[in-house]
Amino acid sequence: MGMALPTKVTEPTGVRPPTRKVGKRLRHNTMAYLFLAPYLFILLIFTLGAGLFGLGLSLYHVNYGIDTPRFIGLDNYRYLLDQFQTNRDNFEFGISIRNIAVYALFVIPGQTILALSYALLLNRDFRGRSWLRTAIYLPSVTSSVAITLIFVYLYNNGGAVNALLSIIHIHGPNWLNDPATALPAIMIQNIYTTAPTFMILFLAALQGLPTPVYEAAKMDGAGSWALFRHITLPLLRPTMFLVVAVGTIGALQVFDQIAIATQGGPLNATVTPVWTIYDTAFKQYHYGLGASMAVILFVIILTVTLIQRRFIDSNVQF
Amino acid sequence: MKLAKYALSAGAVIALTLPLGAGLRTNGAHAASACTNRVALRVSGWSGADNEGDLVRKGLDQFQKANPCISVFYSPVPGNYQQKIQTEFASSNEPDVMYVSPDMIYNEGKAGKLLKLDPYLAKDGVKLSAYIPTLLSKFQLGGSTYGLPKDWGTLGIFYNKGIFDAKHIAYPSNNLTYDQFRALAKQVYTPSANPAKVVYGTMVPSADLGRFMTFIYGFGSEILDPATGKILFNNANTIKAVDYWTGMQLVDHSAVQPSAVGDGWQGDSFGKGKVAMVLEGGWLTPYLRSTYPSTKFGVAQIPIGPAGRADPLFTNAWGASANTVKGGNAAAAVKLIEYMSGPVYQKQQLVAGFSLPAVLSLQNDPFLKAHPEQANLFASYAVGRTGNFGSYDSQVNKVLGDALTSVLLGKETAAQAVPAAAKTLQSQITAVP
Repeated sequence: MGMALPTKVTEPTGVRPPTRKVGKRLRHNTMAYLFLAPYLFILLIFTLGAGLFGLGLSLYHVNYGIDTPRFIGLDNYRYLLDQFQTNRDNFEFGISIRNIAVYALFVIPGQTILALSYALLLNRDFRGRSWLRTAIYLPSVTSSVAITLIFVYLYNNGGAVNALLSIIHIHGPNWLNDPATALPAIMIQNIYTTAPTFMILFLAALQGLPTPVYEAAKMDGAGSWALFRHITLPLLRPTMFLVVAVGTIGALQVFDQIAIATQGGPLNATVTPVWTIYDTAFKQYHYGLGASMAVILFVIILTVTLIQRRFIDSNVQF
Repeated sequence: MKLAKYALSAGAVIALTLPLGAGLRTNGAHAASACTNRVALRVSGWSGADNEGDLVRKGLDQFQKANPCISVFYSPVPGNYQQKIQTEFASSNEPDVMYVSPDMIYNEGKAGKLLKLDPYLAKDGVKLSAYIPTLLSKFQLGGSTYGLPKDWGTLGIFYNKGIFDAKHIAYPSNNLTYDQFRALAKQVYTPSANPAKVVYGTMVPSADLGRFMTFIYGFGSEILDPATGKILFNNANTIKAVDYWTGMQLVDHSAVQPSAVGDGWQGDSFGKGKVAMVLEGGWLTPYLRSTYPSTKFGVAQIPIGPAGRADPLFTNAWGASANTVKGGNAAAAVKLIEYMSGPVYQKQQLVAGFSLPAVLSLQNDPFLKAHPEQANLFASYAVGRTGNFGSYDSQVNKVLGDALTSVLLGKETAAQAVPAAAKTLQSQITAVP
C-alpha cells in the first residue's frame, strides 16, 4: 500500500510537485489512449503494421502458398527502374503512373471546384435547399460499386449519355471501350461522386467564417466577387488544403471504379497504380514486386502531399 | 435476476445462431451418430448462388446421403477464387476438396500442395482411362494425377435460324473451313442506314483470348509452354490468325464487338437478333432458353483451320489438398472427388444443360442423341485443344487480348501487334526477379 499524498498542499502557491503533475497527465493520457485504443489497434495492425510488412515484402520474391520467400534485396526496385528506362511504352506500372498524373490533374481541381460550387450554392437560403442538398449528397453515400455499375450502363454505346448527345446530333463514342475516352469517362464519374463529400467540408467551413470581416468589407464597398476572391477563398485555405490533400490521396489510389468498369483497359488506358499492384500481386503472383510498387506509390503520395502543404499554407488565423 | 437475463440472452443468441451453422452443412448428416470414425470435409469452388452452385450442392447432398460418416461443408468463393485459395494455401487453411483449374497444376500442384490422387484411385478401382484423355492430361504433371475433370465445354457456331431462313441461306455445317465461315458471315450480314436494324454476320469480342485462341491453334501456332514459360506464338501463323479474326470487322465489316451494339456480351446480341452467328459455349443454350425463348437457334461445330480442327476445350477438375493426408481424411476426400467427377453426377450436369461430361461412358447417352446441339459440341472432344498457360495465365490473356484490341482499334497491324505482345510478355515472364 503506497503512502497517500496529503490533501493540503504545503508548497508555495502555484507550484505543484512534479510527481503529481506527471501523475495527472498520465491518468489523463491513459484515459485518452483507452478511448483511442480500438482505432489505434486497427491503425497499428492494418495500416502501420501492414505498411512495414509491405516494405519488408518488397525485398523478397514471394509467391504465397507456393514457394518459400527468397530475399532478393533491391532487385524488385531494379526491375522497375529497368522497365521504366527500357520498356516505357509497354510497362504497365509506368503507364499507370502517367495515367494517374493525368487523372489527378483533372479530377482534383474538378472535384474541388464542384464541391466549392455546391457549398456556395447550398450556403444560401432558398426554397428546396434541403431537397437539393440531399440530392447532391446522395452519390457520396451510395456504394461506389453501385454507382460504377450505373455509369457503365450510362456510358454504354446505346446508353443514356449517347442518347442525350444524339438529340444534339452528336454521335457519342463507345466511352469505356475507346482508349481516348475511357479515362475521361472515369474521371467525370469520380468528380461527380467525390465532390459531395468535400462539399460538406466546404459548407461547414463557410458557415464558420467570421461575419464581421464581411460586414467591414461591404462597408468598404466590396462587391460579391471581391468578397469571394479576397475574403472567402483566403479564409477557406485550411479547408482547401484538407480537400486537395484528401482528394489527391484518393485520386492516386483509385481502384474500385477501374476494377468494375474497365479492368485497366482498353489498351492500358485506365490502368492505375493500385490496379497494377493488385494485378501484379494477386493475378500474376509476384507479391514482392507488387509490394515494391506499393512502396513507390507511397513515396509519390507523400511527396505530392508535402508539396501541396508547402503551396497551400493552411496556417490561417482568424 | 441478472443471471436469468444473461442466460436468456445467451439462449436467444444460440437459438439464432444454430440455423446459421446448420446452413453451412449440407443435408443428410443425421445418420452420422452411428459412425465410429467420422470425417469432415470442407469443400470449395467458385460456384455460388447460381445454377452450377445449386448442382454442386445437390451432388454433395447425394454423396453425403450415401456416405453418412463423411460430413461435407460447402463454402464457395464466387469471386477471385484463385486469389482466395492461394492465401488459404499460404496459411494452411485451404479446403480439403476444391475446384482445380489447369493452371493450378503448375502452381499448387508443382509445389506439392495438391494431393496426388493415383494411389487412392487405384485402391478404389477407378480407372483413369474412363476420362477423356485430353482433359485428364491437363491435371497430370510428372506422372501424377492432381485432379479428375469434373466437366468440360467448348465453342460452337450458334446460328440464328430465323435470320438464315429469312435470307434463304443454308445453315452452317459442321465442316466449314475458316474461309467458308468468313464468307458466310459476309453473306448473312445485313447493313442498314438505321443502326438498330443492322444484322451482323458474327462477333469478334476484343481482349478475349478464350475465343480467339482456337484460331491461333487452327492456323498452326502454339501459344506458350506452361512448364517453361517459353513463348511460342510470335510467328507468321499467329499474325495470320489475328488478321483473319480482326479482318471480319476491319475489312469485311460483317463482324462487330458486342459493346459497339450496346451489349455486355455476345449472347445478348445473339438473343436480340443483332447478329446471325456467334462462337459460344454450351452455357449459351440455357441462357437463350430462359432469357430469349423466342430465338430459334442451332449449333454447329466451329470452323476448321488450315492446320486442322482445334476446337477449344475448357475444363476444370475436382482435386484435394495434400494436407488431407496429415488430417487423416485423404481417402474420404478422394471418395468425394470420385463421386463429383463420376458418371452419375456428370450425367446430372449434362441434363441440366450446364456442361458436357468428361467421362467417356456418357458419350452414347440418350440425352446427347435427343439433343443434337449438345451432341455437336460433345463431338469436339476428340479434336479439341485445351489452352493452359500455368502460372502465366493472366499475363498471356492480357497481352494477346491487348494485341487484338490494338489491331481492332487500328493502332497497330497484326504484324506489329504480335511481336510487341511477345516482347511485353517476355518482360513479364523472364525479367521479373
